Amino acid sequence: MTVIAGVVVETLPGLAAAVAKRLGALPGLSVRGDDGDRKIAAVFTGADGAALEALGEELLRADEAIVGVFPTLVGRDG
Amino acid sequence: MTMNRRELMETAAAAAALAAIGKLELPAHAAAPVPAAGADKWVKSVCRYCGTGCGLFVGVKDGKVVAVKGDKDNHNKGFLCLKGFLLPEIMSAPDRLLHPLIRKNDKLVPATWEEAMSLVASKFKAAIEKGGPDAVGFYGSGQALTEETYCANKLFKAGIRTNNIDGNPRLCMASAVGGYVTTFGKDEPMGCYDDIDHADVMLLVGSNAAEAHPILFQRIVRRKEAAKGTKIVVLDPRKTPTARIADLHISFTAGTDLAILNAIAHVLVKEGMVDEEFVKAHAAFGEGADANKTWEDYKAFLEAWTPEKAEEISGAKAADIRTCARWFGEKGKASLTMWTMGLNQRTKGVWANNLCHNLHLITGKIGLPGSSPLSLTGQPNACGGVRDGGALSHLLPYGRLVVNEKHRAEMEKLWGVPEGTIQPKPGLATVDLFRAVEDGKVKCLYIMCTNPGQSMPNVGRYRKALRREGAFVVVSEAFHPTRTSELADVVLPAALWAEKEGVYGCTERRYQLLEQSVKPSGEARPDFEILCDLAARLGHGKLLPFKTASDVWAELLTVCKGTAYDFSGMTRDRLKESHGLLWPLPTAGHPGTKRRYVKGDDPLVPADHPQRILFYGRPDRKAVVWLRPHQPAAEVPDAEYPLIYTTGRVIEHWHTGTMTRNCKELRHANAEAVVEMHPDDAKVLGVKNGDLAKVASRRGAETFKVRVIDGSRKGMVFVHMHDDKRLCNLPTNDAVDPISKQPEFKVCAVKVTKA
Ligand code: SF4
Repeated sequence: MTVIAGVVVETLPGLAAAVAKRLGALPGLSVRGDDGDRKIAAVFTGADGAALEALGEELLRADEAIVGVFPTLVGRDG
Repeated sequence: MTMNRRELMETAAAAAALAAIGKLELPAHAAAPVPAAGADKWVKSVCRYCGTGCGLFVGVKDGKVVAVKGDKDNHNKGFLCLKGFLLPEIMSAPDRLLHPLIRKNDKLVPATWEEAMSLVASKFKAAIEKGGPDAVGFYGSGQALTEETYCANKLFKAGIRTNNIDGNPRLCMASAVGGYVTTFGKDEPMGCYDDIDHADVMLLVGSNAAEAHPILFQRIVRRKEAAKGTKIVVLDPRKTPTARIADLHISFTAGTDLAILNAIAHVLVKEGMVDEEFVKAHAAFGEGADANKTWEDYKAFLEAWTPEKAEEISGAKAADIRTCARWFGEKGKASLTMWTMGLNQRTKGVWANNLCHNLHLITGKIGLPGSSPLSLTGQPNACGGVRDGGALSHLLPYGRLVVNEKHRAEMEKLWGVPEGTIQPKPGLATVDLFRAVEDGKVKCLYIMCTNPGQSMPNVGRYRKALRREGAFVVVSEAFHPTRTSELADVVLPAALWAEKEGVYGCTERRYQLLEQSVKPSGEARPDFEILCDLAARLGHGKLLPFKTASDVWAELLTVCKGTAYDFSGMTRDRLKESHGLLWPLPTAGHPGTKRRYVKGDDPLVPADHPQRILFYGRPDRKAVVWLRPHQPAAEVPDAEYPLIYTTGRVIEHWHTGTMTRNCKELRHANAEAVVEMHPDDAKVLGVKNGDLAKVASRRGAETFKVRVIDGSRKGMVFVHMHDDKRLCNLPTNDAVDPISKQPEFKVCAVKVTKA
C-alpha cells in the first residue's frame, strides 16, 4: 500500500523558491509549484502515513525556513 | 489519454496542493471520491478530534471505514490535518472494546449487556435509596454527541433528581463560558472563522494553534499571505510553532498575562485609540460581580497598569506591549483576538477572558468583519453539547440555571415533570465531584466518553478516589484499557464516531451532523441507546422515550426555541443537506448567523435597531468592561519548588491519546511525553537531551525524558499532555477558578531533579 498526499509546505516570506529547490532533492517528494513567496505545493509518495509524518517532522526540524507542513488531499493506493 | 489509478491520485493530490497555494482551482475529480481509497460510498461527517470541527466524508467499503477526505464545501475547504486523515485507523484498533466488562475478584472480565446493565442499575438504585439522589453522579464529555449529553442531563436532573452532573468541558471551556456570560450575558463567541479572512491584526493569547488547531492555523497563515501587512502577535511564554510565524512574539512568565492585557488597554486609552461613541452606546463597567462602575473609573483603574508595571510583573518588554497595543488599536484596522487553554485553565481564567473582551469593547473593534474576540474550543462538541444539554452541575439547557426558579419551572414544563422536580441547588463541579467520590459522599459515578483517570489535575489523588472501597464506577468507552477504564467496576463498550449519528457544535457556533457510516463494532452500542436503557432500568424510561438520535434532536429544537441560542430552524433534514450551519437560526428558511449581536446578520437583533450592534444578552443591553487586576497563580515558584510547570499539546496527538495512539503512524511520533526546558535550566540541573528527569510538585511527581530547547522559557518546564504512561497531570494543580470552577492546569510550581 502507498500513501499519496498533496502537501503544502509553508516557508518564511520570500523563501519558497529556495526551499523548493532543496525539497526537490528529497526522495518521495515531488515539488509541483510555488507561489513565489512562501508556499510550495508538492506531492508526497511513501509507504504509509508514518513516512508522511516523519517527513513533516524532519522538514520542520531540519530547515529553519520551513514553518509548517500541511497535508491537503491524502489517499491510499492499494 | 487514460490515467491509471496511481496517476489519478497523484494528479488529484497535486491539484489539491496547488489549489491551496492559489495556483489552481481544485478540479472536480480531486473533490470526488478518491478512487484509490476503494470506498463504495462516502458519508458526510465531522472530524472526531479538535474544536476546529473540520467537515469530512467517511469512505466505506464492505461495511468498514476505509478512508476519509476533507469536505471542500465546509469551512475547512477540503483540508484535514494528519490526525483527521488517519481517523479510519481508530475504528478497528486492537484495543477497541467489543463487549461489556465487569469487575470480579478485582479483575475486569467479559460479561453480557444484561449482566452489566442490571449491575449498574442495581448499584445506582441502592445508592439512591440509601443516600438520596446526590449519592450518584455523572461525568460527561465535550466529545459526546449533543443528543447523548442532553439525554444524560435529562435523566440525572429530571429523573434521578440530582444536579451532580458535570463533565470535561469544565476542564476545557468553562472559563471562556464564564467570560462570555459575565461580559455579554450569554455564552458563546459572537465571531466566526470568516473573521480570520478579514483581520488585519491577530492576537493569539495562550494558544498554540499551529499544533492544537492546525487547519485554523493554516487559515491564519493564508490570511497573512493574502493581505500583506497583516500582523500576528503571539502572547505565549514558549516559542511555540505558532510563535514562529508571529510578527511579534511576547514571551512572559506564565500566569502574568492579566497584567499584560491591562497594559495593552492602558496604551489604547492613553494614546486615544478608544472609540468613545461605541463605549457610550454599548459598554457598561464593572468590578467584582456587579456592573457598578463607570468609564472614568475604568480609566482611573488602568492608570496603574502601565507597560512598565506589566514588564515588572511579567517579564514581557514594555516596548513590545506598546507595539502590540498600537497595532491592535490602529483606527480602520480589523483586530481579532483568539485564545484557548493558556487563558482558560487558570484560577483567574474568567478574568483573563474578560480582559480580552475589554480590548474589543473599548476600541469598538467588535462585531465587524475581522474584529472580534474568538475563543478557540478544545473539543469537538464542548460548545454545542454542553450548552444544549445543560450538562454542567449549575446549568439547564440553553443557558438556563438551576438556581433560577423560572428556568427550573420552564424546563419542568418542557420535560413534563412535576413542579419542584429539579433541585434548586447546583450540584458538584468536576473537582468537587471527584472529591465527593473520594470522601464517599458520591457512591456511584457514571463516566461517559472521557478519561479523567488521566486528564484530571492532581490526577494521582483522583485515581485513588475512583478505586476507593465502596465507590462504584461505570465507564462507557470505545477503548479499553484506558487510564480510567482500568479503574472501573463496569466498562460498557460504546460505539465510536462513524458508528453512530448525532450533532457536533464547534468553535464558531457551527453545528454539523455526523451521519452513521457503519454498524457499531462487536457488541458496542451508541451512548444514546445505553442511556435510554439505563433510564428504563431506573424507572425513568418515560423521560427518554426516544427511538433514534433524530427524536432527541426534535425535542432539542423545542427546548432551544425562544432562547438566545435559538436554532429551531435547524431541522435534521437541513443538517443533512448542509455543510455546517451557524446559529442563531430561529426559522426554517434562515441561512444562519455569522456574527452575533450584529444588525442585519443576527435575527435576534430587530431590523430597525438604531445601532449596528445590540448586546441583547444582558438586561441593560450592554456588554461589561471589567476592572480585573492581575493576580498571581494559585501556586507560584518558591525556594523549594523553583520552576513553573505547564503542559500542552503536540500536533500528532490529541488529549489523552486514547485515539491517536491507535494510529500506528502517530504512535511513533511524539507519543512519549518529554519535559522541555531552557538550556540554562538544563545546565543548572545537570541534565541534557535524553536524560530522565523527575518533575515533582507538592501533589505528585512523574519522570520524563529531557528535551533541551531554546523555545522554552527560562524558569519554566513544559510537558506534552498525551502520554498514558508518563502522566503529566500527577504534578498539576487542582485549584480552581472561583467563578468557572476550571482548574489551573497551566501554572504550578515544581522542582526538577535528574532521575
Ligand atoms: S484541525 Fe482538528 S478538526 Fe481539523 S482535521 Fe485536524 S484534528 Fe480534525
